[in-house]
Amino acid sequence: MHRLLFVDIFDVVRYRLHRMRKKLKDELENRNTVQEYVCPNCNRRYTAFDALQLISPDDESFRCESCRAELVAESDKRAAEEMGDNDDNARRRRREKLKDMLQKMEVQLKPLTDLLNRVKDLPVPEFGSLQAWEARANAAGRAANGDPSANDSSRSSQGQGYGGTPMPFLGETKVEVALSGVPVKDEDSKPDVSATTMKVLPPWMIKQGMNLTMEQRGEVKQELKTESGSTANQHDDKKSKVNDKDDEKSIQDEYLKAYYAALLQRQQDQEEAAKRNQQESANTDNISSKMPRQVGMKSKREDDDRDDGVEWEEAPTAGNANKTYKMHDLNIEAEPEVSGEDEDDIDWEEG
Amino acid sequence: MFFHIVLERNMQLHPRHFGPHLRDKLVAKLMKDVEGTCSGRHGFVVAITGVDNIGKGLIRDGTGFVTFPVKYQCVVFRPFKGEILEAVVTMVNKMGFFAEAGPVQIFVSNHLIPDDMEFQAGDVPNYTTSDGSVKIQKESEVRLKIIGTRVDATEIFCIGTIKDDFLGVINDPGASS
Repeated sequence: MHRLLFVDIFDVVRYRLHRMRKKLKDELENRNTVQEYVCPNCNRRYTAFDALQLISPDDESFRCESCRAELVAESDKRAAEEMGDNDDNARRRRREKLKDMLQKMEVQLKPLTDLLNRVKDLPVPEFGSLQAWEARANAAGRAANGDPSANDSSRSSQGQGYGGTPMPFLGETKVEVALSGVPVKDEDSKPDVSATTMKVLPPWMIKQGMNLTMEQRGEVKQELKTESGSTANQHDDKKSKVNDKDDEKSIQDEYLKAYYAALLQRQQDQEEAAKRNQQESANTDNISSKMPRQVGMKSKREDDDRDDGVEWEEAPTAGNANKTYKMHDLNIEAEPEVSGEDEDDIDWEEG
Repeated sequence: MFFHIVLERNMQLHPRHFGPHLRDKLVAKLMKDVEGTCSGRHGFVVAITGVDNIGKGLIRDGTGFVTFPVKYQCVVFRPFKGEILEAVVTMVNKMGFFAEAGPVQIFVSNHLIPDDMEFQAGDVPNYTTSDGSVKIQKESEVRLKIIGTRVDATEIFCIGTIKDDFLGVINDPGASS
């Protein structure tokens, strides 16, 4: 649900960088500072705010109010004297610090700016509005209606999630699951595993007449059982707000479990296939070429790589097959990630 | 920036105005008193758009004047730091130039004028770019950004800059003539 608007995020990041740079540069060049004036005679100081009172009526120059001497702009004076007292020292140090900061910013944000430059001329993928997405999701759900596996979360996610578009992160996978979960509401009102994996819509997103299931509205399961026949529209947003927090958490946990279960099952399947394959021929290239899906899944980042790394160590398999997986799991060897910074690992051991 | 706000004021009215047109007199006096004034809090009162409520009058001891609390709607103009304004140049000297945006006086000092613009003394003092394509002189219209305001009880004075993107001369009377 919380998608990135790619057009906007690109502009926003660029604009922020621009603002940061501009602010530092402005300060470095004393741009938005108020000019100060000093009387060379009596050393009285004025700022540009006093300008109106300082203009002398006869020659339009700035004159000291007390001794009528012509004022000198402060920065000119400093340039003439070059080095000065403590105040000037502090100013110079500040300037150096600013310069340093600007330089650091350029260096440290270089990867980001490079990326921005790379995507600058690329066309932005068009995902359409939420309504358009819903229409598409409904259509897809109707198409998948005849498929009995749509109810089983593990299998459906296997069929849709992996074979379909590649998932760069977990959040998008949730969308995929919800896609297959939409027809569930029509077929039977009893919530099953796949229904619970649906992402809960935030209350402010729910509008009258939206085609949603209870889970999307953030209703708890118990309520569902009692009022399974009623339409979703009867529930008000207040109720869902109350349940939103913990329900979402449990849904996420459920989802993770199902996801990892699916992953495990899939890997086991593939290991079996690999073993069978091994019996036919010892050629390892053959194995990898026979698993286009596996390869596709590997192309995504971090999450799966990390999980896979743990999994492969555990997996009791024939040595040859194990080696094959490691070979085209390049990301692990290239950049060994610290696995298990969150509860992912625990889930793994359970699954 | 312009605001449409409701203000309140105690109006003192001489007893000679009492009669069937008391209310009209009061409103006329209010407009005369208030429009064009400047308060540091609300800015310049540009125009009174309506009178909401006139309260009960109170006779002052000794004078016979009557005080009416009046609630009125008015348009006020208050400059803010960071605001972009269009202004007319009123005076140019080597320290910078002064400009007016309606009732507000703005001073742009020469270090807030782009570095490529040089002061040219003479009959018509002006700031000109080296190639002479842009010239700031009296009566020029400039777009400037306010970088500081000095707000007194009855006066607002601003400092502006034209040393930024899209700021500077927007219409040059010298070019057309």
